[in-house]
Amino acid sequence: MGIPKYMGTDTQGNQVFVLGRGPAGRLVEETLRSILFAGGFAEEEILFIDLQPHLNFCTRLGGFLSRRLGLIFPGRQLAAVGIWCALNHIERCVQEGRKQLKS
Amino acid sequence: MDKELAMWVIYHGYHAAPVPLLAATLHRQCYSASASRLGVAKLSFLDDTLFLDHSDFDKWRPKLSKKSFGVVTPLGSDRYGNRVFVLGRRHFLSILERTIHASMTLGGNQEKILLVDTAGCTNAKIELGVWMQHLAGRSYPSICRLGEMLIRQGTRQALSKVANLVQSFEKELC
Repeated sequence: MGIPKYMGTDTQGNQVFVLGRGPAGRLVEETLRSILFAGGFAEEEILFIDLQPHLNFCTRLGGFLSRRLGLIFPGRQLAAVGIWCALNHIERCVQEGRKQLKS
Repeated sequence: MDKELAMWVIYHGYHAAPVPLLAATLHRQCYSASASRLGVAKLSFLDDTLFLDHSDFDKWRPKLSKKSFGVVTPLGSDRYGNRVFVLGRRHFLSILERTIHASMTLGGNQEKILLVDTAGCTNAKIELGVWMQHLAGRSYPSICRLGEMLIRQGTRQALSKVANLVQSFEKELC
């Protein structure tokens, strides 16, 4: 939580990361952004895409079962089902992000 | 100045102002070029009640509103070339600490980070004043004024404690 994990590079050469914000929410994003700006990065070099609105009940419940209650197997299955259901929304989100990068 | 030795000094607290801001302002005064000539012990502002009115403190306070939670705000640098920042972190210190170190690595910054927690320097007057200001907002100006008065009194009281904190890590800076 709070550490961007490098996932790879896209077809346009942009580095892609995933970031878990946890209870700190937007504070993590603000901290990351401000440190990178202070280090000389420009605003257009960083794009944050918030996927929290696409979290559904199944995914949340799965995460709760897996992480809080330690019921890893049913929790993961449930979270996977939730992600599968939200896949169209997530895909749309990714496409919009790619459009923003192109423009 | 050897660039490799320069650090990023981040003063953090629940709110970015007033205590972390006071610490950062004092840091810049204590480790300024003029302080180098006079010696820290001879600096008159350390027991001067007019310090708050004659420093950058009031200039920066409105900028560090409650909207700036999580933002690492640069306030300048000291005579050693260390950059000074303030951060309002709420109660997410451990998560944001990881984020700060990770983003330094990500950005390719070689500088060391010194995170200074100012939570121990705060007092009831400051806490009450900040709480009153946030609660009242713009709707109740009289409560806001009372909150402001408490913050100023509390900040003056905290001045010596914050000055001791700032001076306590002088060896790490140079």
